[in-house]
Amino acid sequence: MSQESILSLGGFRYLKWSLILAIGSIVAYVVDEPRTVPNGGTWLGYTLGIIGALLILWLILFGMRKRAYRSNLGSVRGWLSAHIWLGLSLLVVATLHTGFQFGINIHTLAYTLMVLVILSGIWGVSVYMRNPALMSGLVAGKSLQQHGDLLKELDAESRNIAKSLGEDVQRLVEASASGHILNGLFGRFGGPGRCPTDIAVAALHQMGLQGDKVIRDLYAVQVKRQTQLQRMRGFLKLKAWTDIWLIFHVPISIGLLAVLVAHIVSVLFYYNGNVLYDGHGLIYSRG
Amino acid sequence: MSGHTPDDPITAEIRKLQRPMAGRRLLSWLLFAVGIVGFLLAPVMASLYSDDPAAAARLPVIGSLLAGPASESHAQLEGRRPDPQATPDYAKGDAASFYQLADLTNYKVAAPTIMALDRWWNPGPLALAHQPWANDCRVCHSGAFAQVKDQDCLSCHKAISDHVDRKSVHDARLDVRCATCHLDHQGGFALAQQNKHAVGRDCADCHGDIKKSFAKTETENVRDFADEHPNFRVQMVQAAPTVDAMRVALKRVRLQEKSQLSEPTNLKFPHDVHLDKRGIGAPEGKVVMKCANCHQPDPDGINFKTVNMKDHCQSCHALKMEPNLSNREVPHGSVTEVLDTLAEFYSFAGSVGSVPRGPEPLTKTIAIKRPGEPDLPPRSFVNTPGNNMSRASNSAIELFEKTSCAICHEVKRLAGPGKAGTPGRNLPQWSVAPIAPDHAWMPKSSFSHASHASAKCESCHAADKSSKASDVLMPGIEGCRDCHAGAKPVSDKIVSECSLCHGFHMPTAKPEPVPAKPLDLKTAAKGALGQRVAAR
Repeated sequence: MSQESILSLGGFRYLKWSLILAIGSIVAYVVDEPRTVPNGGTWLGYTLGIIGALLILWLILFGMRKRAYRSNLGSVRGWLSAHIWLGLSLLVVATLHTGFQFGINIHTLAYTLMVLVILSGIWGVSVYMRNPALMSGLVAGKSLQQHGDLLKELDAESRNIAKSLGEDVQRLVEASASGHILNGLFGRFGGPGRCPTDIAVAALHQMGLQGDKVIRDLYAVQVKRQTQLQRMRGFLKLKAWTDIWLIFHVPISIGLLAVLVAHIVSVLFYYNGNVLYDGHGLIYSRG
Repeated sequence: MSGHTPDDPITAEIRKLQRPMAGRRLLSWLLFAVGIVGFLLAPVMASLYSDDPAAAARLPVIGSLLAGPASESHAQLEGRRPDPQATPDYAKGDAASFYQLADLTNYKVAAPTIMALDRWWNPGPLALAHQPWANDCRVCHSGAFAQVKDQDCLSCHKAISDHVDRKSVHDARLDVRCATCHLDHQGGFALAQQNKHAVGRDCADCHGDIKKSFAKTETENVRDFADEHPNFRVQMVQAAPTVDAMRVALKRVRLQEKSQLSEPTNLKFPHDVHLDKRGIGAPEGKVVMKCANCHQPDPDGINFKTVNMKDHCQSCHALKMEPNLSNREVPHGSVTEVLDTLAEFYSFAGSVGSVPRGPEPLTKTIAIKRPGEPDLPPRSFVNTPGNNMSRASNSAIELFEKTSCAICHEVKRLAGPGKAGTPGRNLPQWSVAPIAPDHAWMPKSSFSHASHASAKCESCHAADKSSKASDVLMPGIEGCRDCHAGAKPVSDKIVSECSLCHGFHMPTAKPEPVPAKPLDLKTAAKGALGQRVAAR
């Protein structure tokens, strides 16, 4: 199990499903001879549309399965693997459903939202494949609060050392201790600002050049604090980037659900319905 | 880590940072609401209440918005709508049985939805001719969850005809709606053009075994142009006493290989003599004639202008009454007009003593003679003994029976006198058989000569071998098949589906709207399944 990633689960079982669906759709699209041009309203267009809509509903259901901890309906890992691969095949199914007809309308809006959700999903997969290993390397098996405790211990030690030093040094230490781990929303995603600890380290480095041992001890503690902070920040930034994609992935998929409903209702509201009704063999026979 | 006070800023910040990012749920609801309200509820409400601003006004909250100033173009649109009372074509006779005028009268005039909210539903560009109504879905979609109705199409397309007269021919396969074939929202091209490609495939459904469905039909079974298409039928006149009667008595006769059809044209015209490669005598000497000397295409490139005496014959076949002395010609008109001209001419010449020479210098005259007759110069009658009327009479006999009329026409001497009160009433009288009128040869197909301009005329029409005007020079199917394949592609040939030459709408069949069905997914699924099975 541990050798299998989410993608390769079950010997790439869901990749195979996904390929079957995608290649099957492409073959059907190539073979199909619609009366006019390929579009969502032909027999194949309706079929791909229904498959696509059911896929979208099922993909959204993953959000519920993920939270249904008592469910025995397959493992969450299995669901996730299927969610990823079949979600990718949706790109093929839905694109062929459009018959490559795009415009400024809710139909193309639904398609665009779907593409955005899938793209954010690809981003999410890459983030989830890469970041957790880096993150656990950074925190080395300890919780973030334990890392915080280490900061507090370093602060206590710094204050202790600073007692024998001047007021300006004490002010540096206090500023360093009261600085934020991350600076606001933007700090969470990058932006390496110069924090009070950085300032303290730089200042103590200058002072330590004159050879004062106590200053140099304090400098060593502050450098430790700086390293510790950088480690925590690295972790938190990775975590932020790992989390943020869900802000896109989930709400856009819910928006997609709404527009999809509008899309389906609108095509039925003003529908033509040739495929469903007319023909007497007209649609299918080839003489 | 219970040892820390809640105020500890580091602990607090870490706790905050570990919380899942806020906004996911809020954003989800927000986007869902925008999608449903903006793209579903608003267009549906706007569409449902567009016709009835009063009802819209009674709705809480959004009522004032929906009932707001209706689109300014509403009045203009009303003006553009066809007036149901002004559909006289269908109101005549027993119209009610095949065209429900009442339905049309009750037909709701669609207005653009408020702020054209449902324009976002438009799945693709309309045909160019329909684009003026692009912001008014209900011009064509006159009901929610229902197919496009034939009445909606026919309210504008009044002149369109059906495939067959469905009052006399009953077959469920003919119950196709306009929108069965004409699907809009597929781009700017005309819907009829769209079906040039699409419709042909379906013809063989009925026409593959048409005798089975319609025993009385004269149509032969057709499946494909390449090998399952009968030879063409050409339309010909039947012998009749007048041109008008001939025009009515058109009959279509099937071309047979190796048998020459003959049409009673009453014209004497040997194509082979005129197209002789060594040339034919003309006032300016020998002239090699081409088809285009007489057959000039119409501007549409489909047919040809009617060949006429003045433009195409008379430069050689002049109707000179005294060809040695005068340029004067008798008119190419009725017998009476010719005789009157002769009577007046010879009366003038006799009384004044000189011959009116005509407007231009005398040119060389071709002595037209029948094969086998001696090559004599044209005779003159001005100086022969007798009175003016006897000279006119001799000249008339010469013109009618020898030099002019009889060259091309079937001429028969009649007992006199002629039309009362005319100068020529006491001259001998003749009847001239009516010439077959111009008519379409293959009225059930379309053929553009312009499209075939790269081919030589004689590759289809064997005119240079035809010695009689009664020869039917229409080509059979074999010639077409040299270049045209059937629906299946063949190397070096043109793929030719039915619609390349044939249309669906036959001019004589009046349309009868086929009822549009409401949306019923159960029936639909069953129908679709049945069709799939039937197609196997």
